[in-house]
Amino acid sequence: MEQLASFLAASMRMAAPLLIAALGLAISERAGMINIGAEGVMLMGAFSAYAGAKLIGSYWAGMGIAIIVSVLMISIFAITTITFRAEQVVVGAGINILCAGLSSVVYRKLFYGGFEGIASTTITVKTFPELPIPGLSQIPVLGPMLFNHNIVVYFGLVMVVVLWFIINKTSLGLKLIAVGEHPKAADSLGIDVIKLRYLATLFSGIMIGIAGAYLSIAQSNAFAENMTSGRGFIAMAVVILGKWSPIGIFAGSLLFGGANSLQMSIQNLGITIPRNFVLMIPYIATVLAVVAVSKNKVGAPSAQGIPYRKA
Amino acid sequence: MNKFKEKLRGFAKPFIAIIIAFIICWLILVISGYDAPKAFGALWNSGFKNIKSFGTVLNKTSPILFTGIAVAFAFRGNVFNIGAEGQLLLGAAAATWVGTTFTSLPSYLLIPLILLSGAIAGAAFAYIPGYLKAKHGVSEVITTIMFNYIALQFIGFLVRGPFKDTSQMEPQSHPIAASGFLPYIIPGTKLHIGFVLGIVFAIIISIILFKTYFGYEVRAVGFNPMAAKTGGIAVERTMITTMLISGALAGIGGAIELAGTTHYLLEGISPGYGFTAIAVSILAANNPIGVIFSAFLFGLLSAGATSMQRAADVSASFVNIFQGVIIIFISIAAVKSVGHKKLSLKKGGN
Repeated sequence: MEQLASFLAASMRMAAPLLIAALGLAISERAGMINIGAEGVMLMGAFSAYAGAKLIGSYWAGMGIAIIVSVLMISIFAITTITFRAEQVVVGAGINILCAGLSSVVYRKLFYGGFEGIASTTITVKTFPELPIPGLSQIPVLGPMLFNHNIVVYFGLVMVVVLWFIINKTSLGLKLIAVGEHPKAADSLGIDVIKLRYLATLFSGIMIGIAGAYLSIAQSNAFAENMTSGRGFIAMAVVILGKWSPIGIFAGSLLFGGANSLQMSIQNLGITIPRNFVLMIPYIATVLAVVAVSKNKVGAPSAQGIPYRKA
Repeated sequence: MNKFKEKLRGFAKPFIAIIIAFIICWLILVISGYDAPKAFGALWNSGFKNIKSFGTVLNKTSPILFTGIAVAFAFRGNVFNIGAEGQLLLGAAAATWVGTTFTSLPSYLLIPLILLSGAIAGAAFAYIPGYLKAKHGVSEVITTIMFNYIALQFIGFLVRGPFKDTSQMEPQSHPIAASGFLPYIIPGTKLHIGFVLGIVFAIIISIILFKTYFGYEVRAVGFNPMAAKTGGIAVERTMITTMLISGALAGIGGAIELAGTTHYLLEGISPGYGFTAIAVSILAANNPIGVIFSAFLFGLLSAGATSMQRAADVSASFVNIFQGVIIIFISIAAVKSVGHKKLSLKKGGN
C-alpha cells in the first residue's frame, strides 16, 4: 500500500509537465495546429524560468518570465504558420533547433561566462514548495497522489476541469472544434478562424512555458542543457492518446508518468537491465501508444496542420 | 523570360535567408556580449585558412550531405522523416560491427560491406515508421522523433556493453580494422572519399527523382496522395519505399562518418547531423543537387563552431540558432512557390 502510494505520487510528479503541456497542445490542435516546436518552447520555458528565478530571486518571477518567453517563441510559430501559411512541421523543427541553441548559448553566457567556464558545480535555485492540502492529503493512496504537491501540479489538475468545461460547455469550445474540423464552414458562420487559431496557439505557449518552468524550478532546482529530453514530443503523443479531451489527456499523462516512474524504480531496485534500455522506456511507450490509438481515428481534428486561406 | 525570372527568384531566396540568419545571429552575439567579429572571423578561418582545414570542412560536410539527401528525398514524397539522426546512428553502429568483425577482409571488400551495412541498418530502422504511416496512418513525425531517442540509447548500450573497448576510459567501441578506413584523397589533408561519394549519391538520387517513373511516383504521392491513388499509383508501397531509401541514405552517412572520420563508435558520433539535414534540405528546396551546396554551408558552420568556441568562447550550440533561423525563414519563402509548382516527368527539376 505504502509502495503503491509513493509510486502513484511519483507518477503524478512525472506526469505534471506532460499534462500541462498536453492540455495546451490539445487546445491548439483542436484549432487545427500541429506544433512539434513544443519541445523547443518547453526547453526555453525551463531555461527562462531558471534564469528569472536565479537573477530576480523568486520562483514566481521565474514562472512569469518563462510564460513571457514561451509566448514569444510560440508567436514565431503562430505568425509563420497562420499568417504566412508555412509548413507547420518544418517551422516546428526549426523552432526546436533554434531553442536548443538559444537556451545553451545564453545559459552558458549568463551563468558560466561563456563556454570555457562551464564547470562541475550546478547553480541551484529556490523551488516551488510542496503544499499538502490539509485533510485531503491524508486520504490513503489518493491523498499523496493528488493532494501533496507543489502549486504547479495543482494548476495542471485544475486546468483539466477548466478546459473540460470550456470545450464541452461553452460556445468558445464549439467554435474551437469547428475551426479545427472545418474552417471554411466555421468562417461562413462568422467565426474568425485566424484569430481563434492565434489565441489557441498563444494559449498553448503559456501552458508549455509553465510545463517547462516546472522542470527547472519545481521538479528540480536547476536548468540543464536539453533537459526536456523529448517531453514536448511525448506531450504530443499524450494528446493523441487522450483523444484531444482534457480527461483523456489526464489519464494519458498519468500513464506516461507511470512509465517514467517505473523507469526510476527499476533503476533504484538495481534490476540488472542495462541502464540504456531502461531509459528507452518512455520513448518506446510513446510509439506503442500512438500505434494503439491509430486503430481508432475518432477525435483527430480534420483540418489539423492545414493552413487556412480566406477565400 | 518568365521561367528565367522564376529560376532567379529560386536562387535568391536561400541567399536572402542566409543573410537574414547571419544578421540575426550577429545581433544575438552582440546582445549577449560576445565579440561577434572575432567569432565569425574564427569561423571563416577554420574553413579557409589552408587546404588541411578545407579538408576538415568537406569531411564535416559528408555526413550532412547524406542526411540532407535523405531528408530531401523523403520530403519530396511528403514523408516527414525527422528520424535521419537515428538512422545515421544505426548505420554507424552496423558499420562498427562489420568493421570490427570481418577484419581480415581486404579494403575493396570491407569498405563496400561497411557502407552496405550502414544502408541496410538505416533502411531497416526507417522501415518501421514508414510501415506504420502507410498501413496504419500513424504520423511518421512522432515515431521518427521517438526512434531518434531510442537509437541514441541503443548506441549508449552498445558502447558500454557488447562493443566496449575496455582499454578506454570513455565508453566507446574498438576501432574498426584499418582496411575498413575510407581512403584519403588529397595528400596533406584528412579528406576522405566520403565527400565524393556524397556528390555521386546526390546525382543518382536527383536522376531517380526527376528522370525515372519511380521518382515521378514519389513526387506525385508527395504532391497529392489522393490524386496519385486515383491515378493508379500504389501510394502505400511508394511511401514505404521512400522511407526505406531515405533511411538507407542516412545510414550510409553514419557508416561514412565512422569509417572515414572517427574509426570507432562513440555516443557523440553525431552532433545532430540528422537534424541539421532538415535545414540543409529546406534551404535547397528539397533538391538533391542543391543539397550539395547547402550541406557545404553547414559543414563549414559545423567545423567552424569548434574554433569559434576556442577563439571567442561562444558555445558550439550557437550553430543551432543559425540553423533554426534559416529553417524558419526559408519555410516562409517556400510557401508561395507551392502554388505554381508543376509536376512533370519530362521537364524535371522544380
